[in-house]
Amino acid sequence: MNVKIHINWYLQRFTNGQMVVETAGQNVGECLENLEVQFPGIKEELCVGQGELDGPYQIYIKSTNLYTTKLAKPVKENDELAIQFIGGGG
Amino acid sequence: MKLIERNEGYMLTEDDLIRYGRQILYPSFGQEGQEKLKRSHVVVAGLGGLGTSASIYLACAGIGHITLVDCDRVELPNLNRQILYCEEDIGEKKPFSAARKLAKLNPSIKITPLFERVTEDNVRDIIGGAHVVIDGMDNFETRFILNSACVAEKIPFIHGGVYGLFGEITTIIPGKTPCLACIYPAAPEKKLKPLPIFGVTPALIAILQVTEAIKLLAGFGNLLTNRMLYINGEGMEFTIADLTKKPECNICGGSKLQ
Ligand SMILES: [Zn+2]
Repeated sequence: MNVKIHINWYLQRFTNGQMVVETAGQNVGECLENLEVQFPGIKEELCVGQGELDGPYQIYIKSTNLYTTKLAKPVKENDELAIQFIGGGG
Repeated sequence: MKLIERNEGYMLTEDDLIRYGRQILYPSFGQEGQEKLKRSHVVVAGLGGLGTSASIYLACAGIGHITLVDCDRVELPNLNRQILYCEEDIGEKKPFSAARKLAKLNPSIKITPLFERVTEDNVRDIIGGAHVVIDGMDNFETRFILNSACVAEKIPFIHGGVYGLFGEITTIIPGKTPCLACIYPAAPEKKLKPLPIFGVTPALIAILQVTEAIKLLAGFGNLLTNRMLYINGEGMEFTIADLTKKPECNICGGSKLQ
């Protein structure tokens, strides 16, 4: 499945400033794996460990939250994903 | 959600009409809106960058009763963002220092300072009877405790979080919107501790939290419900994402209860 990923400003240092990048995969995890091949370092920044997101990022598919940190969620052809940064401090 | 009832003791005084005159002029608010604020009880949970900024605007707006909760004392590194405290307050318990300043700002409101850590054991006592809880927390563990209690007590919870020049905010109405546990399945751990923060970021988020509280309490306008607003002060981008309930949320019941 080919998908577009909207990259938040904080991560655009990995994508040479590109705000939207195209990649492919059967699920969110595979899309992130392929993103890492295109833009080395981004996976470590996203804190993808054990098939889950454990860092300060949240992924939306078509602007709806994933409900889960697990990355096995399937994607459809031409889905648009967005990666958002969670502040969390006070 | 608790309905705010009319009560003769909460009628506006002549001083109130003068003090709040400029906001009473706002057509969808008026004297009725001001009376509702006067009858309202808001809990500010956490008195850091978010909580100090929020409590100033809650007090100025004429929220009748504000409870301030925090378990820390004022320290020098707080002063770049926690704008209710001065250098001479270092070492003082935050809720008492904050309450003293707010009482000067608006002596006509009731302020209850609580020097306590919010825990599962005391959270229902702290927020019970409140009309709104403002999230001023700096950690997800306590946010989840507050979220569960707000869901159980059916009290709206206005979530905010910050990091550097980034922030996010959403308004949670128990039963109607996703709760915090729907949105964040696990507490996102940060790599950098303590978190980098500029004072302007919590101020910006806190002012939006109070804007939501005023509309919610007075009953006008559109709320930031079922949506998360992400603020990126570095790139100056403001993004809204839709939120839906987690299908089987173990806190609010999620979308399966619909
Ligand atoms: Zn929930």
